[in-house]
Amino acid sequence: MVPEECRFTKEHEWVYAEDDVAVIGISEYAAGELGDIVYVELPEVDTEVQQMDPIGTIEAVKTVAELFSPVSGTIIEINEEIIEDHETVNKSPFADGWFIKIKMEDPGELEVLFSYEEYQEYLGEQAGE
Amino acid sequence: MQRWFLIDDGPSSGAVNMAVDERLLSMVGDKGGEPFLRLYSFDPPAVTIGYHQDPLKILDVEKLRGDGIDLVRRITGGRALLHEAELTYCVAAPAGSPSFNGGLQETFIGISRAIVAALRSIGVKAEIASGKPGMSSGAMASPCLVSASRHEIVCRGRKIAGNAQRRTRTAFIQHGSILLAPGSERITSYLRGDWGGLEDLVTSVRAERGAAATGEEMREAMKASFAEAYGAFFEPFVHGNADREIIASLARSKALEFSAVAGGRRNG
Repeated sequence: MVPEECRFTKEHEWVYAEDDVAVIGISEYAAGELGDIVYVELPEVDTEVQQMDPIGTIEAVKTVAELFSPVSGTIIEINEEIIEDHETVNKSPFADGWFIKIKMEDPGELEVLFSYEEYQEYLGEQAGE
Repeated sequence: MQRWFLIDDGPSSGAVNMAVDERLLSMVGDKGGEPFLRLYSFDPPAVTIGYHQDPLKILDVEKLRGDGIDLVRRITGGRALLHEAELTYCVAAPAGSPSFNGGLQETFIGISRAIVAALRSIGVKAEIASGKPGMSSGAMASPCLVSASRHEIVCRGRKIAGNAQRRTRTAFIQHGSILLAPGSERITSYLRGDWGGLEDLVTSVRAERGAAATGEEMREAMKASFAEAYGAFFEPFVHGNADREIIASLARSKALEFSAVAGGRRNG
């Protein structure tokens, strides 16, 4: 996944769409803010979700953050590797550290998410630039 | 000046204390309003464990029960912690609050600075440790007080306060303990595995200045330092009846979670 080709949420998740399948993970910024990830809780395959439904949690050394589904649809795959080896999320948030794949109900929902450029601006605002 | 709500609570059981903090997270997110500062303590002493921890793997639960110590799960991260001889705080704020408009780490730093100022105002030379970013020290079974992380509050390199956060789309809470006197290091006698003594890793107000802070002294110092740090003025907050019912229900389920473990008793 190339960050420039992803859409982003205010909650620092990314979505990479291939036809009607969305691959979802957390951004490099989020992984850095959280620090070492020690636990990942993901939903079951075949779970149906609506856009921005909570779908799990990610725990770092001090923080539990909730994960949200950036799009509506059905979860078709979860990344077992990050459940076993949490470091993958810190090491490779945009590639091997992906979380879930969702078969989207409406790819048009991606339009309400940030583009890469808009997400960079959002990060700048958060940093008080 | 921004209005904050203040909840100046007395001691409660672990289940009740964690229920109130959980309620604050949903309340403040729903309302999208002012931040909260809650100050409280535990009676009886309680061990809280992190959100994803399995108590049977890390603790001798039977021994805890035998010694009259509560066991309750936090909704926040971090590891097992014995709450005894401390002042506990909880900060809850909605996403986008003017007091917390930065990211996760900035929030940790801001709150840590306010706590350091409170400790210094009562004569404890606390500081924020530089620590490796997000460093997790060893197994999940290790106690909270030996896990080093960014923005820990230390005196002479020893931890004097711990903290943990939960973040949702709409809000966050951060709660933590300020050690007033020795006691919390007793956690090692309940942990599985040999963790040795924590005496060289943790300290307390009493150890640093030769006299323990009373809970009241620390509370006043915290109110003053948070007001200064965040340009805040405090308005006392009292839970309404509906809130009390929600908190009581949450507390019951938290107390029941481990009631069947090792012949535990109901509490809260």
